[in-house]
Amino acid sequence: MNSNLKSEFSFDEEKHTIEIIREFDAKLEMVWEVWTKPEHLANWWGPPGLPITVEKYEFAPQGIFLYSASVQGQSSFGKFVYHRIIKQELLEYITSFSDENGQTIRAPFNEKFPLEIFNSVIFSEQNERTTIVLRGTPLNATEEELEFFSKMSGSIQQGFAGSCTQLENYLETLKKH
Amino acid sequence: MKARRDIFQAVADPTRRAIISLIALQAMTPNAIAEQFNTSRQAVSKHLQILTECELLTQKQQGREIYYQLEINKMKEIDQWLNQFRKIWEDRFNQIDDILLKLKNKTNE
Repeated sequence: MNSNLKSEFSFDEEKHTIEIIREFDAKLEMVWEVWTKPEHLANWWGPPGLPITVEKYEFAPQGIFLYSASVQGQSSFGKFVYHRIIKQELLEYITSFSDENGQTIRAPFNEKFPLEIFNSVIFSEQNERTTIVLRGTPLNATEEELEFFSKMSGSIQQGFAGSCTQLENYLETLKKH
Repeated sequence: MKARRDIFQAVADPTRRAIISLIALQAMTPNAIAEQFNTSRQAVSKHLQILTECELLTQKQQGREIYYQLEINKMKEIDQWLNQFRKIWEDRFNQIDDILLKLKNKTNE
């Protein structure tokens, strides 16, 4: 990654909202395309080297983007349901885990993880660089889900991009063992 | 029944992270830990209790003193879990960078 590119992660405890700001070294038109064309999404939404399979793609308000990923030989599904779309300005969608029919399911890794996350991505361009501001917040979540989301996000924020604490250094040395 | 506390609560607090860092280097007595902080002994003791309930610290008796030591495996477990989430986004952005670079090269051809 180009270290000149802005990359920030923060969490608003009161609003239960994650905010990620990331700069890309490309024009808005191109970044928008990469976020909204299924052939591109397939190549970056999943883990490196494991492109996701686009099962269904309806890029319109209330439209669904259903994808599958094969993790250790097992297929899992996820989806976006698009909300507002303003070309090259704003993209809103709800993300969740899904079954093969597009029905929302609980996160496989933890039952307290919120069922649905509402995401808004704001795009802007300056000096031929594009900045996205992504905000994610649980939708219709219970107190317990909100609490879980906060703890998780708070912990991630502390470790994200750059803040090199003693603990992280220590963990690095552990990994080498 | 398992303690209500979970490991995210343990590592989300800056003082507790500092305590973990300290104990990672060597097992320490509660007094020695408390001396490192400006907060009250009671406050530090509360943090130690939370970390113990989360199974991140264990106590061992040595002579007349109680020492706290870090449970390294538990620590690795948390780290893997959080890193997964942090990494998911870092990986996505890096992949976007790659795609953008390819697209730019293509349009320049």
